[in-house]
Amino acid sequence: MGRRVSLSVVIGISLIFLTIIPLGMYLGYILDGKLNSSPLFFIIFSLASVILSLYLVYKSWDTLQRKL
Amino acid sequence: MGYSAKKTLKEVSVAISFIFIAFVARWLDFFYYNSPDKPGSLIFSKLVGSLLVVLAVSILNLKWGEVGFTKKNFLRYLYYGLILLFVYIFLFYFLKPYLFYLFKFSIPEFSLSFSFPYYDRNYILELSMLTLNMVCEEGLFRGILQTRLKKIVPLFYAILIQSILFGLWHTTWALYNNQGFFSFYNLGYFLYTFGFGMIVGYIFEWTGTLTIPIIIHFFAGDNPFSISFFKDGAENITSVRDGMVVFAVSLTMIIIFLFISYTLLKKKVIIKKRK
Repeated sequence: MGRRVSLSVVIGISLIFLTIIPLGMYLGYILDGKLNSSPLFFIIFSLASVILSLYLVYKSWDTLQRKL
Repeated sequence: MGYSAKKTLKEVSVAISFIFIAFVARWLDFFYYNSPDKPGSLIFSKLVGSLLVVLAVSILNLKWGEVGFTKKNFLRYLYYGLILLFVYIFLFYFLKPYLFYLFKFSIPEFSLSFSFPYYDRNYILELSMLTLNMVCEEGLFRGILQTRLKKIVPLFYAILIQSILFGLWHTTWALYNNQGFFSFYNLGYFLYTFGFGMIVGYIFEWTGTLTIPIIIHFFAGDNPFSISFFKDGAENITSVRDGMVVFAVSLTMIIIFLFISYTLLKKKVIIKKRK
């Protein structure tokens, strides 16, 4: 695997994390503000988004490997 | 694709996800516990980050020396680190604000202030928070992420990605101070922390240990003794022109500092290359 390819893969990984996790965090933050619940939804949503993004990374990694 | 590249990509994704888990703890600390206003501010998220560093080292089967926490050449790097610390303070605390004021056509009023530590509970809590902060931030960004990235990506991009994430990590301060994400305050802060990430990343790359980064980060980056040379304190950006001036001046300072540290550590670099 060339260094350029791995650079784009790394940028893709960081973009997946950068979009999904803050989105989940923000969603939980807004829900907490509306429902007046302490950091319950924030923690649930952020943990779920971490797991979701890890799942997406590994799924896309699998697809990439099958194609190459 | 080789086995080692696949393994390193796994390590990179673990490192980035750990940074985001630490970021979640940081957000919790800022916006739910409002801890910057409380004693031992942000100590919870720093503790979580330090534990994540330990966890990452253990689950990725790394050695502490590989991550940068070594005693190797400690005294020598302490010596160089203190020299670079004074250079950093001169460049970024004295020359940068001075040039900024000059470009704004105003003459700054000098007043050296330096708060000596007073030993009460709050200050000790804050110092311990800053000590944990060294393990957390240096370990997560430089120690684990940068060393993983540089195995599969050209060195410059490894340091760039690491310092962009380091800059984004610090934008929570602007949101906490109600300045907005797309504000001049946030831009200035992002650029400063981004430049700091670049500087420290290169120094870590040249020396191979986190001794100098930790010294500079602890005494100058976080400034626990609140050193300042001017009465007005930090420069405040209010227009696009100010932003451009700050950008140009900071870029110059970063290049000067990198040049000085490279010439100072040149011997070490040559020895490392020969190996």
